[in-house]
Amino acid sequence: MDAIQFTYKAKFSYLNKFLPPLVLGGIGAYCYLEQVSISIKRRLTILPYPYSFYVFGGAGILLLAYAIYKLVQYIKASQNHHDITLTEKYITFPQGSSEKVQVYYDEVQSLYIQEDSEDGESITIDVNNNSYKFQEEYFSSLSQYTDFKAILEKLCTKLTH
Amino acid sequence: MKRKLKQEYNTLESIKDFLATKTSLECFIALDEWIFDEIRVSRKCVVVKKSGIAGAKVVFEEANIVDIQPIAPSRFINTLTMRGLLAMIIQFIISGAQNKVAEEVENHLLEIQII
Repeated sequence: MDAIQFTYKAKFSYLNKFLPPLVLGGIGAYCYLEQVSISIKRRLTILPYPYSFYVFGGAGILLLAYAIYKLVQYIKASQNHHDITLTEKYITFPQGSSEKVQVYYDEVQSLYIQEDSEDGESITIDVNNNSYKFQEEYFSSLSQYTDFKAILEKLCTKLTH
Repeated sequence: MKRKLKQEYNTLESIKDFLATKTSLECFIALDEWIFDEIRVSRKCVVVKKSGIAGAKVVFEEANIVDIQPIAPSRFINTLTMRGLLAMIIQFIISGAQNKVAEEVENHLLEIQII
Protein backbone atom coordinates (compact mmCIF):
# COMPACT_ATOMS: atom_id res chain seq x y z
CA MET A 1 0.00 0.00 0.00
CA ASP A 2 1.35 3.43 -0.94
CA ALA A 3 1.34 6.15 1.68
CA ILE A 4 -1.93 8.09 1.69
CA GLN A 5 -1.99 11.70 2.86
CA PHE A 6 -4.90 13.59 4.37
CA THR A 7 -4.96 17.32 4.96
CA TYR A 8 -5.81 17.92 8.62
CA LYS A 9 -5.98 21.49 9.92
CA ALA A 10 -7.54 22.77 13.14
CA LYS A 11 -10.46 25.18 12.78
CA PHE A 12 -11.80 27.76 15.18
CA SER A 13 -15.04 29.73 15.15
CA TYR A 14 -14.69 33.01 17.06
CA LEU A 15 -18.45 33.56 16.92
CA ASN A 16 -19.38 30.16 18.38
CA LYS A 17 -16.80 30.30 21.13
CA PHE A 18 -16.85 33.97 22.18
CA LEU A 19 -20.50 34.93 21.69
CA PRO A 20 -21.95 32.85 24.61
CA PRO A 21 -19.53 34.28 27.25
CA LEU A 22 -20.14 37.80 25.91
CA VAL A 23 -23.92 37.37 26.13
CA LEU A 24 -23.77 35.86 29.64
CA GLY A 25 -21.26 38.50 30.72
CA GLY A 26 -23.55 41.21 29.34
CA ILE A 27 -26.53 39.84 31.29
CA GLY A 28 -24.32 39.61 34.40
CA ALA A 29 -23.18 43.22 33.98
CA TYR A 30 -26.78 44.36 33.50
CA CYS A 31 -27.83 42.49 36.67
CA TYR A 32 -25.00 44.23 38.57
CA LEU A 33 -25.61 47.75 37.24
CA GLU A 34 -29.41 47.70 37.54
CA GLN A 35 -29.54 45.33 40.55
CA VAL A 36 -31.91 43.06 38.64
CA SER A 37 -33.44 39.86 40.02
CA ILE A 38 -34.50 37.08 37.68
CA SER A 39 -38.15 36.18 38.12
CA ILE A 40 -40.96 34.45 36.28
CA LYS A 41 -43.97 36.67 35.50
CA ARG A 42 -42.81 39.14 38.23
CA ARG A 43 -44.13 36.85 40.96
CA LEU A 44 -41.77 33.96 41.44
CA THR A 45 -38.22 35.20 41.96
CA ILE A 46 -35.80 32.45 41.04
CA LEU A 47 -32.55 34.44 41.28
CA PRO A 48 -32.59 37.48 43.58
CA TYR A 49 -29.88 40.14 43.29
CA PRO A 50 -26.87 39.69 43.87
CA TYR A 51 -27.12 35.95 43.03
CA SER A 52 -28.32 36.80 39.51
CA PHE A 53 -25.06 38.71 38.99
CA TYR A 54 -22.97 35.89 40.53
CA VAL A 55 -24.58 33.15 38.40
CA PHE A 56 -24.47 34.96 35.04
CA GLY A 57 -21.11 36.60 35.70
CA GLY A 58 -19.60 33.29 36.89
CA ALA A 59 -20.99 31.37 33.91
CA GLY A 60 -19.67 34.09 31.57
CA ILE A 61 -16.18 33.91 33.10
CA LEU A 62 -16.13 30.09 32.89
CA LEU A 63 -17.18 30.14 29.23
CA LEU A 64 -14.65 32.88 28.48
CA ALA A 65 -11.88 30.79 30.08
CA TYR A 66 -12.97 27.80 27.98
CA ALA A 67 -13.00 29.92 24.79
CA ILE A 68 -9.48 31.23 25.53
CA TYR A 69 -8.26 27.68 26.24
CA LYS A 70 -9.68 26.54 22.88
CA LEU A 71 -8.14 29.57 21.13
CA VAL A 72 -4.69 28.77 22.57
CA GLN A 73 -5.08 25.14 21.44
CA TYR A 74 -6.07 26.34 17.96
CA ILE A 75 -3.10 28.73 17.69
CA LYS A 76 -0.73 25.90 18.69
CA ALA A 77 -2.32 23.44 16.28
CA SER A 78 -2.32 25.90 13.37
CA GLN A 79 1.47 26.30 13.72
CA ASN A 80 1.83 22.58 13.01
CA HIS A 81 2.11 22.03 9.26
CA HIS A 82 2.16 18.23 9.27
CA ASP A 83 -0.59 16.22 7.60
CA ILE A 84 -1.96 12.78 8.44
CA THR A 85 -0.16 10.00 6.59
CA LEU A 86 -1.32 6.40 6.47
CA THR A 87 1.21 3.76 5.42
CA GLU A 88 1.00 -0.02 5.46
CA LYS A 89 2.23 -0.35 9.05
CA TYR A 90 1.78 2.97 10.80
CA ILE A 91 0.01 6.31 10.88
CA THR A 92 1.63 9.70 11.46
CA PHE A 93 -0.36 12.75 12.48
CA PRO A 94 0.21 16.29 13.83
CA GLN A 95 0.23 16.81 17.57
CA GLY A 96 0.72 20.10 19.46
CA SER A 97 2.52 23.01 17.78
CA SER A 98 5.27 21.15 15.90
CA GLU A 99 5.28 17.47 16.84
CA LYS A 100 4.50 14.56 14.56
CA VAL A 101 3.30 11.39 16.26
CA GLN A 102 3.83 7.96 14.76
CA VAL A 103 1.63 5.07 15.83
CA TYR A 104 1.83 1.47 14.60
CA TYR A 105 -1.57 -0.08 13.92
CA ASP A 106 -0.62 -3.06 16.12
CA GLU A 107 -0.33 -0.69 19.10
CA VAL A 108 -3.88 0.62 18.75
CA GLN A 109 -5.90 -0.90 21.60
CA SER A 110 -9.28 0.58 20.81
CA LEU A 111 -10.93 2.65 18.12
CA TYR A 112 -14.31 4.25 18.59
CA ILE A 113 -16.40 6.76 16.70
CA GLN A 114 -18.37 9.43 18.50
CA GLU A 115 -20.89 11.94 17.27
CA ASP A 116 -21.40 15.35 18.80
CA SER A 117 -24.13 17.78 17.79
CA GLU A 118 -21.66 20.72 17.88
CA ASP A 119 -18.33 19.26 16.76
CA GLY A 120 -19.65 16.56 14.41
CA GLU A 121 -18.18 13.11 14.14
CA SER A 122 -14.80 12.14 15.55
CA ILE A 123 -12.58 9.05 15.72
CA THR A 124 -10.64 8.31 18.91
CA ILE A 125 -7.83 5.77 19.14
CA ASP A 126 -6.26 4.57 22.38
CA VAL A 127 -2.56 3.75 22.21
CA ASN A 128 -0.49 2.82 25.30
CA ASN A 129 -2.49 4.97 27.74
CA ASN A 130 -2.65 7.86 25.26
CA SER A 131 -5.78 8.91 23.46
CA TYR A 132 -5.77 10.64 20.06
CA LYS A 133 -8.83 12.23 18.52
CA PHE A 134 -9.43 12.97 14.82
CA GLN A 135 -12.29 15.36 14.17
CA GLU A 136 -14.32 15.29 10.98
CA GLU A 137 -14.44 19.08 10.68
CA TYR A 138 -10.63 19.34 10.61
CA PHE A 139 -10.37 17.32 7.39
CA SER A 140 -10.38 19.23 4.13
CA SER A 141 -13.54 17.45 2.93
CA LEU A 142 -16.13 14.95 4.10
CA SER A 143 -14.89 12.55 1.42
CA GLN A 144 -11.37 12.64 2.90
CA TYR A 145 -12.75 11.97 6.37
CA THR A 146 -14.84 8.95 5.29
CA ASP A 147 -11.85 7.53 3.36
CA PHE A 148 -9.62 8.01 6.41
CA LYS A 149 -12.16 6.33 8.70
CA ALA A 150 -12.66 3.32 6.41
CA ILE A 151 -8.91 2.76 5.92
CA LEU A 152 -8.11 3.18 9.62
CA GLU A 153 -10.85 0.71 10.61
CA LYS A 154 -9.48 -1.77 8.09
CA LEU A 155 -5.86 -1.44 9.22
CA CYS A 156 -6.37 -1.47 13.00
CA THR A 157 -6.95 -5.18 13.31
CA LYS A 158 -5.53 -5.88 16.76
CA LEU A 159 -8.08 -4.02 18.85
CA THR A 160 -8.50 -5.38 22.37
CA HIS A 161 -11.80 -3.59 23.08
CA MET B 1 -22.24 7.95 11.28
CA LYS B 2 -20.96 8.81 7.83
CA ARG B 3 -19.98 6.21 5.25
CA LYS B 4 -18.81 6.47 1.66
CA LEU B 5 -20.66 3.92 -0.47
CA LYS B 6 -19.81 2.34 -3.81
CA GLN B 7 -20.80 4.27 -6.90
CA GLU B 8 -23.71 1.96 -7.76
CA TYR B 9 -25.39 2.86 -4.46
CA ASN B 10 -25.78 6.56 -5.16
CA THR B 11 -29.57 6.63 -4.95
CA LEU B 12 -31.96 6.13 -2.05
CA GLU B 13 -33.78 3.41 -4.00
CA SER B 14 -30.62 1.31 -4.42
CA ILE B 15 -29.80 1.66 -0.70
CA LYS B 16 -33.36 0.77 0.28
CA ASP B 17 -33.29 -2.30 -1.98
CA PHE B 18 -29.94 -3.37 -0.56
CA LEU B 19 -31.10 -2.97 3.05
CA ALA B 20 -34.33 -4.84 2.29
CA THR B 21 -32.26 -7.87 1.27
CA LYS B 22 -30.21 -7.69 4.47
CA THR B 23 -32.74 -7.03 7.21
CA SER B 24 -36.22 -8.19 8.11
CA LEU B 25 -37.06 -4.71 9.38
CA GLU B 26 -39.37 -2.44 7.41
CA CYS B 27 -37.51 -0.19 4.91
CA PHE B 28 -39.08 2.71 3.07
CA ILE B 29 -38.27 6.11 1.58
CA ALA B 30 -39.84 9.12 3.28
CA LEU B 31 -39.43 12.86 3.62
CA ASP B 32 -36.81 13.58 6.26
CA GLU B 33 -38.83 14.82 9.23
CA TRP B 34 -36.06 14.03 11.70
CA ILE B 35 -33.97 17.13 11.10
CA PHE B 36 -31.82 18.06 14.05
CA ASP B 37 -30.53 21.40 12.77
CA GLU B 38 -33.47 23.34 11.46
CA ILE B 39 -31.55 25.23 8.79
CA ARG B 40 -31.53 22.31 6.36
CA VAL B 41 -34.22 22.03 3.75
CA SER B 42 -36.28 18.87 4.14
CA ARG B 43 -35.24 16.07 1.79
CA LYS B 44 -35.87 12.37 1.39
CA CYS B 45 -34.22 9.59 3.34
CA VAL B 46 -34.37 5.82 3.76
CA VAL B 47 -36.10 4.86 7.01
CA VAL B 48 -35.47 1.50 8.65
CA LYS B 49 -38.23 0.91 11.16
CA LYS B 50 -38.16 -1.59 13.98
CA SER B 51 -40.98 -0.02 15.99
CA GLY B 52 -42.53 3.39 16.58
CA ILE B 53 -39.71 4.34 18.94
CA ALA B 54 -36.72 2.58 17.38
CA GLY B 55 -35.44 3.09 13.88
CA ALA B 56 -32.71 4.64 11.77
CA LYS B 57 -32.56 6.95 8.78
CA VAL B 58 -30.02 6.98 5.96
CA VAL B 59 -29.60 10.36 4.30
CA PHE B 60 -27.19 11.56 1.61
CA GLU B 61 -24.61 14.12 2.74
CA GLU B 62 -22.73 14.22 -0.56
CA ALA B 63 -22.86 12.33 -3.87
CA ASN B 64 -22.07 8.89 -2.42
CA ILE B 65 -21.60 9.69 1.26
CA VAL B 66 -24.46 8.78 3.57
CA ASP B 67 -25.17 9.63 7.17
CA ILE B 68 -26.86 7.03 9.38
CA GLN B 69 -28.80 8.47 12.31
CA PRO B 70 -30.93 6.86 15.03
CA ILE B 71 -34.52 8.13 14.97
CA ALA B 72 -38.00 7.53 16.36
CA PRO B 73 -40.03 6.63 13.23
CA SER B 74 -43.34 7.55 14.90
CA ARG B 75 -44.20 11.19 14.27
CA PHE B 76 -45.87 11.41 17.68
CA ILE B 77 -42.82 10.06 19.56
CA ASN B 78 -40.51 12.21 17.43
CA THR B 79 -42.46 15.35 18.37
CA LEU B 80 -42.29 14.32 22.03
CA THR B 81 -38.49 14.14 21.87
CA MET B 82 -38.02 17.58 20.31
CA ARG B 83 -37.85 20.01 23.22
CA GLY B 84 -37.97 20.35 26.97
CA LEU B 85 -37.10 18.28 30.01
CA LEU B 86 -39.67 15.57 29.20
CA ALA B 87 -38.15 15.24 25.72
CA MET B 88 -34.70 14.70 27.25
CA ILE B 89 -36.03 12.01 29.60
CA ILE B 90 -37.89 10.18 26.80
CA GLN B 91 -34.86 10.46 24.51
CA PHE B 92 -32.65 9.03 27.25
CA ILE B 93 -34.99 6.05 27.69
CA ILE B 94 -35.41 5.17 24.01
CA SER B 95 -31.97 6.10 22.64
CA GLY B 96 -30.50 2.65 23.39
CA ALA B 97 -33.00 0.85 21.13
CA GLN B 98 -32.56 3.48 18.40
CA ASN B 99 -28.76 3.20 18.50
CA LYS B 100 -29.00 -0.59 18.11
CA VAL B 101 -31.01 -0.21 14.89
CA ALA B 102 -28.59 2.46 13.60
CA GLU B 103 -25.64 0.17 14.39
CA GLU B 104 -27.31 -2.72 12.57
CA VAL B 105 -27.94 -0.55 9.51
CA GLU B 106 -24.36 0.76 9.58
CA ASN B 107 -22.98 -2.79 9.80
CA HIS B 108 -24.98 -3.74 6.70
CA LEU B 109 -23.76 -0.65 4.84
CA LEU B 110 -20.15 -1.54 5.67
CA GLU B 111 -20.49 -4.29 3.06
CA ILE B 112 -20.99 -1.72 0.31
CA GLN B 113 -18.66 1.03 1.48
CA ILE B 114 -15.56 2.09 -0.45
CA ILE B 115 -12.28 1.28 1.25
